[in-house]
Amino acid sequence: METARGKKTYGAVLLAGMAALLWLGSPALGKGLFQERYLYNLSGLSGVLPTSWATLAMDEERDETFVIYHNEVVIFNSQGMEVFRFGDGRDYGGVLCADAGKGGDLLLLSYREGRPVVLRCDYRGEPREEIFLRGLPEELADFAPNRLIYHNEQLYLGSQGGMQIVICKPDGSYVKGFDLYEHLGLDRDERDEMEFNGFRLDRDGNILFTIPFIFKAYIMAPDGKFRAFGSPGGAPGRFNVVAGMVADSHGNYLIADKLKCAVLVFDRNLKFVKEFGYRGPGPENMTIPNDLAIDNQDRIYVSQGAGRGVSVFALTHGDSSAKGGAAGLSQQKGGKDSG
Amino acid sequence: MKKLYKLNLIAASAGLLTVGLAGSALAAFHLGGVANCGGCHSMHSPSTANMYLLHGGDQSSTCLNCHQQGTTGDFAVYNGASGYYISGNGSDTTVPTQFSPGGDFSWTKRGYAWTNEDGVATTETGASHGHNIIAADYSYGVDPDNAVSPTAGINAGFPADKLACNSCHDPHGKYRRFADGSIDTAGAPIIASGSYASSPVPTGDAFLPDATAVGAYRLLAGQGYDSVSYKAAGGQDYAGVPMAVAPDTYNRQETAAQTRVAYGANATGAPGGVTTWSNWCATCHGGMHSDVNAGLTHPVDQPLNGSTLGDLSAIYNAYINTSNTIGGDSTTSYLSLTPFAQNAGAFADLAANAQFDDSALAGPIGDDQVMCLSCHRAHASGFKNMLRWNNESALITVANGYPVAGTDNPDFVRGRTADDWTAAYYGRDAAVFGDYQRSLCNKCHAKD
Repeated sequence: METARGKKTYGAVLLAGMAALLWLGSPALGKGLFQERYLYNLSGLSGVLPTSWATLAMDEERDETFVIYHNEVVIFNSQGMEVFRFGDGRDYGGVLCADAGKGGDLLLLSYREGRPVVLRCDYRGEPREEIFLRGLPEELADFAPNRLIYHNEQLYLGSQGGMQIVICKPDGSYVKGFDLYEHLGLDRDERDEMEFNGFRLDRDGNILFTIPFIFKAYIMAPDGKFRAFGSPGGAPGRFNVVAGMVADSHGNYLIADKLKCAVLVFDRNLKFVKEFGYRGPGPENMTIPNDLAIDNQDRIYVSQGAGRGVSVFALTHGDSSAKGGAAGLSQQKGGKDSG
Repeated sequence: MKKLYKLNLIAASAGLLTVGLAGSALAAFHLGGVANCGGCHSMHSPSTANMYLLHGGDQSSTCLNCHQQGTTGDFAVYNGASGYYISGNGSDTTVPTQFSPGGDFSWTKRGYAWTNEDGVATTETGASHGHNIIAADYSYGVDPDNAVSPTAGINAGFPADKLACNSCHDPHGKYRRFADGSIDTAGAPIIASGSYASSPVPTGDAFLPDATAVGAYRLLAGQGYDSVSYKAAGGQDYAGVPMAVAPDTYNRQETAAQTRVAYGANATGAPGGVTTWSNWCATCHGGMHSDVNAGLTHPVDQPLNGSTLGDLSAIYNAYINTSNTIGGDSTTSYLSLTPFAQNAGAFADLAANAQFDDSALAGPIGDDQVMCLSCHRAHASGFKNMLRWNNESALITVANGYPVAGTDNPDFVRGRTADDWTAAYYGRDAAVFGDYQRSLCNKCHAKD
């Protein structure tokens, strides 16, 4: 039989439980507070650029976005408007990837007579130096990169099909390399099917990539230690055909899923947080998201298929450190004006 | 066995309520038959653009979700040509990057423009390079030039605005090959793909316990095929499934060694459910088949040694190139730019020739046959009418090189770069051909 005292006890337990639930949902854990908001698509003066599966890069220092598409490098300002493009009709070879170099230089990954070359260009895209890889060990003699990142005065080069990563000095001299078959313990007999996707660095210098063939995402430290996660399936948090991967300022990992047409979010402990996007006609929807990039204001750039171009979303985390969104934009605009 | 184990392991881990690609690794996704339903269909969050609960905006887009190369690549160096990619990065400004024997569909996006030797602006559309499948998510549109399949002949033709991967391939993979070589849509279970040299050999009697089957070549459609998304008047019925075996590695450039898909025919009586390659193509292109337009079209499904022109297999074997039309050897005369159908009933005979290391280069013997695929690729090519070589100019090579813009006759160059030529010939150096190589029609006709 229930008594008044019993009711109070029950009520206290209930309150305690609610408090515990509230605590569990506190900003300290981050989960439940992560929000994304569609901002705009990268555009030119005549409207949205209808690219399909363009490759992305960020110049965080200058707050610019590079879109590499059909042998051209298109540069967008911090408001997502095109400010410059180059590449078409010039002798760069096939531009596969680009990144911001030191002091405003642009680095282009291309090929010269079958050899990979990093072209160091000035801010107008004028070639200034050809950097060839040097000192590669014999097992990497056939290294054929198609991704490039410049970070902390080092070149990170990835061969997605070859499943190899090489780190070089800015002059192209070899520092270290990883054969991902060997390093991750993968079956080399499946090399006809295997390739990695993603290939970004987080703020700690960890290399982020996915391997869609085995439904896995990887966080690999510069010393080679790695964490892997992911399992196949269509339920929220599971992987269909995963692609690009980035990390935000709070250590959340965001992964594009081409089949789900969504971006999956995992916290720093690799716990699933949410998915967003999904196929549809709305501006916040996505069609075959592939490459991802993120800027220093936690704005995520999603390169998609079907001519849907590159959608930009602001990420917020429910605390004062959130930089994206309207507030972030106005701050950024002020910064630009004062500069 | 390893892949089956992986299938079970992952399916179990995915859980019963999981919907999606809860299958094995992607390579084993189809496993010769119907794949995991959730790989293509979404029960609760399908694309809003179609009515079949598909993940993609349309049928072909759903296929390309996995079969489109998703990474940047340069055809000359892209060394990760995943076996299952049939569409690469081809566009108005980039060269396609995939090299499966069927061809990279993105050639249909790569058009050319040039000023001909008379000073007239001339174009060759990308659409003319292949089957224009519709995959809106991947910027593949309806054939702008043909409302129905060219030279439909005896039927009304297949409508261009319905053409999709599933027009030719059965996405549910019901067609299966039994131990006796026959094909049916029911019977022994499919245990693996039947497309490869390493595919298991089916066992037992098709309809008795413990028998096994393998999938039909490339999940191709066969007798009674009637796709849900397009029902032709009277059904889109193929005469059967044609025979072929591909090497285990096939999406590759042929710079150093050729990729040989061993095509089959069986003039002495094909097993049930089996047809010739050209009969199969004639489902939509009936007017091109010599059985229909006898005397008006190039013969197909005919023995090379039965031509009114003589024994063409002997010419094939003797022909090396324009510079040497008689010095060839039947043990090394095979050219993947001009394949033929072996008149062999046994899949083992085909499997022995399905190689990618030049270990099987024997040319045709006697009654081996000419077929549509002797000249055309199945998906697309770098050339007009999805031919395997440039048949629009008198010369394929000029002075031991591919035609060069600004140097050679612009109607030989046809707006192409050196990379275009090399990619279209699957990485072959021009030196493989004669100094002034003429059309590869001459592989069988030697009129050069």
